[in-house]
Amino acid sequence: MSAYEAHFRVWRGDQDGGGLKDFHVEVNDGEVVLDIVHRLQATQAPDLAVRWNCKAGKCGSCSAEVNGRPRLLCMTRMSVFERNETITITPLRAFPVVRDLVTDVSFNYTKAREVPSFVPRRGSVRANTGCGRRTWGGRRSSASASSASCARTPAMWCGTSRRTRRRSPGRGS
Amino acid sequence: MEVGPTCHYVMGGVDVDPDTAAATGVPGLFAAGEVAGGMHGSNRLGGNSLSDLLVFGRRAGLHAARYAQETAASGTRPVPDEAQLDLAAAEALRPFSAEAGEPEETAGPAGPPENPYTLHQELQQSMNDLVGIIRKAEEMEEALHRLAGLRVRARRAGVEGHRQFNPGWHLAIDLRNMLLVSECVARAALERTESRGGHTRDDCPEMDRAWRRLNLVCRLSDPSGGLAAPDAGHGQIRLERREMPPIRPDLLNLFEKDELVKYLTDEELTQ
Repeated sequence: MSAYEAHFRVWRGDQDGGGLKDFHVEVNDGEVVLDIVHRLQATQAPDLAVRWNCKAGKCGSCSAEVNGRPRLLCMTRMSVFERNETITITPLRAFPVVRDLVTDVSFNYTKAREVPSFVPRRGSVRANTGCGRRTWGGRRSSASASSASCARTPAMWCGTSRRTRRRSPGRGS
Repeated sequence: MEVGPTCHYVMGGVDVDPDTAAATGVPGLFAAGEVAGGMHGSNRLGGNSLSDLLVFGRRAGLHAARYAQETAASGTRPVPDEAQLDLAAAEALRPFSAEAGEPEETAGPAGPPENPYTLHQELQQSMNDLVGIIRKAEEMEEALHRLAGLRVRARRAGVEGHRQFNPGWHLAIDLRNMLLVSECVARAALERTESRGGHTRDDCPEMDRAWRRLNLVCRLSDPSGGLAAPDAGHGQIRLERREMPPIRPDLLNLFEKDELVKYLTDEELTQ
């Protein structure tokens, strides 16, 4: 395999409107779409707005639509496309556009704030190693009587078990 | 998939007071985590960066809040100098005028606008090749020479477009700090003529006990003109050696003496 030139159409604009712009960019072995967008920035469109962080498919920052489907730019390999295929990159339709490929994802942060944070149970000996460990498998702690529903809850689901405990009556404090 | 050795963590960083996380010499600046220096000695142990964040992040937040409260209550909050703010704003906006081809206000060397991405890539390559995992004096001297050249060119970094979410502009602004940090790393690594922890020198492969108590502190050589120093060819920092406080006796007693011989200076051992 060798380097080749790929045809890209990238949406450029802001909340007032915009359109697809054509680019021809070099592609090398093993590259992902985000690599190409970065090359595009470095060589042809220095002010092309794209958000990215981890380059490893963990953070979700580089979410955009590739050929109309939501994708992570960092996890979409160039090898899945034909060399003569035109690749279209547009911002996610689910969020309002800020500029180019960048969307306003503040909704996610609002939702994240609604998720209650994990608070270790008072007096829990193993609070730092995982929640509800003592009650797993039916073992009861002497310090606080746990609800039966919590005992059946796997230890890893901190948010779930905490909410269950909060609602359960007769819990020792 | 490209696989190769790379820079993973930096032990150096903002000089902070360990108890309050307050930066030395910059009132109101607090730093914790990888950006703060000195916490992990010459090489951080695996897993300690997270503990660092939890412990010193809390301290930084606590003391920043306390600082904000106290200075507000007593009316002693420092007021930024208007002239410095104007200078900083002009410096930040310069990449736009470089693109428009406007004449520079300072007597900087003339030349075409530079692509910030090209400068960034050259900076990365130079630091990777010359101040990388295994270093030697000539290479670091060469790196400092290249940094001087890049600094001159970075003054002409130009960008297109406007100020809204403009990555080229962000990079042009970041370049100034990247060049400064690169110089700090290269200058300090050249000065430290030993190998210790994450710092490995081909020309000084042994650990030198005399260096153990020494930290190297970088300061801007001209803090007032640091933003827009017209003579970009010269180095921007002053390097100082600073002695670390002695290790507490109760901590020293935790180790076997034979083990310490490798690390401690003669004075420390005889104490």
